Amino acid sequence: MKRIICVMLAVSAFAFAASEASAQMGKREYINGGWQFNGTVANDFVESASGYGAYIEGGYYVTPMFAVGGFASFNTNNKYIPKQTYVFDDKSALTTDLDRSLYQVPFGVTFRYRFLRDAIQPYIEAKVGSEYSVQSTYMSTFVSRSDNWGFYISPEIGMTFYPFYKADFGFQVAAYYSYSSNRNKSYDIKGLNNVGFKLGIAF
Amino acid sequence: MKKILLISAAVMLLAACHKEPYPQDSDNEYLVYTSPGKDVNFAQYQTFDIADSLLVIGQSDKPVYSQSDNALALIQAYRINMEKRGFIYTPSDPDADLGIQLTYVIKTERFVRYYDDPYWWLDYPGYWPAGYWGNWTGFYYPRPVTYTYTTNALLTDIVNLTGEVEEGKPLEILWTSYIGGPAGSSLKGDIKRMEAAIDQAFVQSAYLTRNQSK
Repeated sequence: MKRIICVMLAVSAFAFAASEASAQMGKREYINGGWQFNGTVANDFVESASGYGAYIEGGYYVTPMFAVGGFASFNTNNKYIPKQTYVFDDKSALTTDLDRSLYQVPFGVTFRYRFLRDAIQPYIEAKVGSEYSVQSTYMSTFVSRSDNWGFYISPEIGMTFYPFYKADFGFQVAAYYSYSSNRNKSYDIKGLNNVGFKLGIAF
Repeated sequence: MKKILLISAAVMLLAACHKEPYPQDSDNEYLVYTSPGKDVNFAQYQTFDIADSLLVIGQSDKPVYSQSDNALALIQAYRINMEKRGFIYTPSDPDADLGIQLTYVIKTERFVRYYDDPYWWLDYPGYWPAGYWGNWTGFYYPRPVTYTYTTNALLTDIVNLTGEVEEGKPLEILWTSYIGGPAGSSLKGDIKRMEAAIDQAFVQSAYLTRNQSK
């Protein structure tokens, strides 16, 4: 019984906070930022999931439900390759362990549609822009590095939540897929695919 | 305008956030690279000689030739591997077919970095209070933090001594190897790792033999 009362109180408090916060939803601009966890998909160079990432985005609601804005984020995905011997066409050979590192910095414009103008705002978003990427291979004291640019597109689904009374402060959680057209002949990279999620704060 | 500046600053911050792999993630073994000359057939060579000293670069202003125990251990490792491959060691023989020269390079890199508060131990509970020395309110170090790391490498060339000596004609290098990486905590340990790396250099150079079938 005590637990039920606690749950009811919590739900009531939540609903109260949500309804009160909804009074703050007249604001048209927003800024979100936080931590981003990214996994590379179908990537022979580095296939890993990593939390070395962050994002920031902001926008303006040109209509009550539709916003246009900008974003930038970064992620590093590293992969350790244990010691192997690589034999080349001229019979030269290299034995070493190595670390591969894929660094991605996409940025561009966002188009967001929110389904509610309440304390909880679920939304869908499309991000379009450019991606700067660096592919590095660390071997002993050497590093081989190359960089490239590509076209970037990313659909995202998420929600922002403003639980505090009369405060433009809340939280964001979202999941995304992204594709960029970056290419690297040396590493046989023909596009970069990612999936991930992000947790952040919202203003 | 304030928000644009905020976003711009954040973008620049993002661009500087590449997470580099940690050096301690590596297996702590030396990288081994070997490369033969073009169309070299080692079966046509029979004897070899090894320079009796190790050329050391980086420990003093001028290169020095070392015959220390460590130097001789590396030379011996090459001799053993060459003999396993069927070559005959003929020390100080002017008619040897192959010559082997070894060079050890040691290099120290220094990085100087500035931090807002690099000397974290000054705030460590119980650390010497500045007031101990009089009416002082704290410490400061006049220098930035300096990091150093040392690498070492063993370079080896096998040269062709059977060619005709002519004025201005360079000596042909038939095989070369680079063994290198971060230096360990002791030279003795580094030499052990290098001996293992020398074995690996031969393992990945199966053509370096008098036996045609290999």
